[in-house]
Amino acid sequence: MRHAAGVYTRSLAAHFRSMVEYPADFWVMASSGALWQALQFAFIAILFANVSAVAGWNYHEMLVLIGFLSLTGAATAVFWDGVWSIGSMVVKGDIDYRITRPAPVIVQVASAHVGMQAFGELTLGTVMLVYGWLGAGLSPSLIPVALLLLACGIVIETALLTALCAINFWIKGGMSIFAFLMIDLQENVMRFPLGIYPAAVRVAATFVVPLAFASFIPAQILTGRVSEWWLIGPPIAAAATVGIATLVVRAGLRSYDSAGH
Amino acid sequence: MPILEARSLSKRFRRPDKDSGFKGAMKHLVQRRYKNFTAVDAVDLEIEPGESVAYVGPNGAGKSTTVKLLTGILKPTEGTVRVMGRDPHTERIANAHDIGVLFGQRTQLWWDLPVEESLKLLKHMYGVSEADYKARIEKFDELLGLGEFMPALARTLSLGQRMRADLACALLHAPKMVYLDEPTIGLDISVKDRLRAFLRRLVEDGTTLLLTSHDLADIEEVCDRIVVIDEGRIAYDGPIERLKAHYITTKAVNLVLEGPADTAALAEKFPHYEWSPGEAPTEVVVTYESARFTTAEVLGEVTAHLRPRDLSLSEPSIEDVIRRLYAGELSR
Amino acid sequence: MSHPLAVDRALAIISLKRRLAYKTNWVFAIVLGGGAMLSGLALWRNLLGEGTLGGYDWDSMRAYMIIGFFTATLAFGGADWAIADRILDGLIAVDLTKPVDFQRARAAEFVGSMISTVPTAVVGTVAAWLLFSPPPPVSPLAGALTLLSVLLIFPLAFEITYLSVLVCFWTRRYLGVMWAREAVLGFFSGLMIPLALMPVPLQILAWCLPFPHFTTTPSHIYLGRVDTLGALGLIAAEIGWVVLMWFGGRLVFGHAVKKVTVHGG
Repeated sequence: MRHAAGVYTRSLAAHFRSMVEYPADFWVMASSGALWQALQFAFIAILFANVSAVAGWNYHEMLVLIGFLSLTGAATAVFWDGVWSIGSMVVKGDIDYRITRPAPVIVQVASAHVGMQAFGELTLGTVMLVYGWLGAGLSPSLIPVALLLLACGIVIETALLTALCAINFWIKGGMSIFAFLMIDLQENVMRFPLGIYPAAVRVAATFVVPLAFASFIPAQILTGRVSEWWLIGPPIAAAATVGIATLVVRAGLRSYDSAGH
Repeated sequence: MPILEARSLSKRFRRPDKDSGFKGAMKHLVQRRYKNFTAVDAVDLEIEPGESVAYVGPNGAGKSTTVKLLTGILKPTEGTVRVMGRDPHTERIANAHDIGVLFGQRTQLWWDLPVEESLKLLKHMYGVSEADYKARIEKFDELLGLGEFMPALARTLSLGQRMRADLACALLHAPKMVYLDEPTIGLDISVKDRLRAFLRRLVEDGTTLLLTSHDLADIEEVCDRIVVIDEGRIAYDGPIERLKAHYITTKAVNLVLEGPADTAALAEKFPHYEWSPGEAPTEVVVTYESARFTTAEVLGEVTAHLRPRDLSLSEPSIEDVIRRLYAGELSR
Repeated sequence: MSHPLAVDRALAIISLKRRLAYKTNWVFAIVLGGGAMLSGLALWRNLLGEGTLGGYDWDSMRAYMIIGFFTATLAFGGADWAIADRILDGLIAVDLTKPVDFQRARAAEFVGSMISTVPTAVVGTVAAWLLFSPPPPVSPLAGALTLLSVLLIFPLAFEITYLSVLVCFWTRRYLGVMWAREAVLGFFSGLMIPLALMPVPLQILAWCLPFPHFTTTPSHIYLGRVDTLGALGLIAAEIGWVVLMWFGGRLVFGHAVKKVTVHGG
């Protein structure tokens, strides 16, 4: 376990060092990430210049929600971006080398790439969260809770993404369609308070694909919309999604027959 | 005590048996039919420590599948594999510390990192000490010229550089058992020479080698034992010299004559040799049994009677034997 | 360097066929674009209720979003990766030696691949139509002019993509550039939020760019927010951009080729 952690952190650290040495790529990607976030911020600002609330959420509360969403997404892209290449690795037979090396396969795969656009997203996401936090008058005593919820959110997203990318062990193809769909869901649906959607969508986003526990429910907890009992939710969802992801990845590796050369 | 023991090793794949195209895919959804495909069929293999074994076979013979079974990537359908006493599939991580693997068609370098970083990451993964690491990198640099591209990103390397780097990756932890799958594919001749010299050194130092290659020169220069696999079954297993002695019974001389060669007339005049047309109309090839005639005798007779303008001797090569083995012309 | 129209057509057809071969793309494209449209519709229904914002009521907003979905599916559907890959892999060196105009060839391929997304766009739009029954165009003439403005999106989308891909001569990586382009296009076209709701300086900025013609122009014409004369003016502006960016593309390409270091090889 400790060895696996060592393998993981060293790989990630090596990628960070490489980014510093070859900054051109980094700046292009980080800038484009920042641009996306800036336009998201602009969108919310413009929206609330025209309305005062969306499903009862005001400007600053919306920023808290979107900030949370951005941070969990960005952290996933920084710390676990390699899983996106599971599909192409299976097709090309690159998984073979990972099996012959003395470390868990998924750790090797996940730490093999860093999504540099996330650095742009992280900065602006933090700005939105902090700005919204202050504007909404949230108490500083909530900060530890927020950090816990953020950690859970990151774990949930990472685990779901891993499980969906791992489907490529069976459905051969370079890109994981399901993972794409999840990200799309994240970006389009989870951006807004779930109250604007029909009940079916709310249920699906909470219990079928527990993305709500990664951003919406934490935002609800922090803005005092739901009772503190809901604090149990995200950690349980995090544990459950990790369990599912582990099962899927293990099953995938068992079924791997190294097709192709 | 053999370092590698495979008994009755078999691998069967289940492939969907469907027609091509959209209709086929639809039909398959409703009526699932599968074909069983045997890639490796009851292979018995024993390798002693320090041996260098060539594993050869035509495309689709089951070479790669065997290597994947031996390295633990695939689980056998039947039979057993033991490498240093361990099952490479179920005891994956323990086995991984003692083996080195090179797949010529793919790289194990981290794509976005400099070569040096990849090696450092492997150093930590395998638990190689700093002192050992330094010593081995120096040796790789001396023998493979690694130093010139250590700081280069993996994705900028040429094929030759990448192969040398991958070889260093495979051997960094000084494994006792090394599997090389097509290590010289696509390389130019100078890099091939360097690699082969390096591998010979490796064998001299006591590492056990299993090498698959389509380049038979690789095999002649590096290995002393050859295992031929065809259609999943072992067709031959023994020392290379024995293979050549056993099956190579003839030698050949290529003659360039003054005028067009009349193969039929020559065959009549010299029926104790075999005559076949050469590449040009003035060329002819005379093949003779090396047990019955010495090269000197043949050359003497041929030059006296035919006065060829030029001639060349063809070395007995295992390529011919292998080709005939693949074609099933030789019995086991 | 000129080549006959037949070459254009051949390239477009090849590109179209290649796209059609990937059947999963269809469902994929509908679901991806559809997600954004559906969540957008949910948002605006919640916000508009019985009222209006920026002159849009729920009826017209429905039409707006569906038109946006249709044009976005087309605009984002083109095979920009193919062009980007060619430049990045240094194949451009090979292309430059062929007696074929690089820009025209890529345009033909790109339009071919866009055409392959038309069925997808149509299917999605028809489904949205049936589900949400937006109002019809303000007049048959408006409908026809809307269609015309949408047709102009084909060359417009290519040119914006082409120009953004040429940036690869300098940046060496395409993914970041593509994301930046999509973000800017989505925002300044009005797809994210109608331009009418933006502060005036931002609206002026948007109209100085070609992007509003992707969503705002067709929907303006369709909803009758401009009269016939205004519609023709917008279409003229579109044509102006098509011409401007075509020659702009040639200019940048010329510069880039002079500067080029062929990647790899």
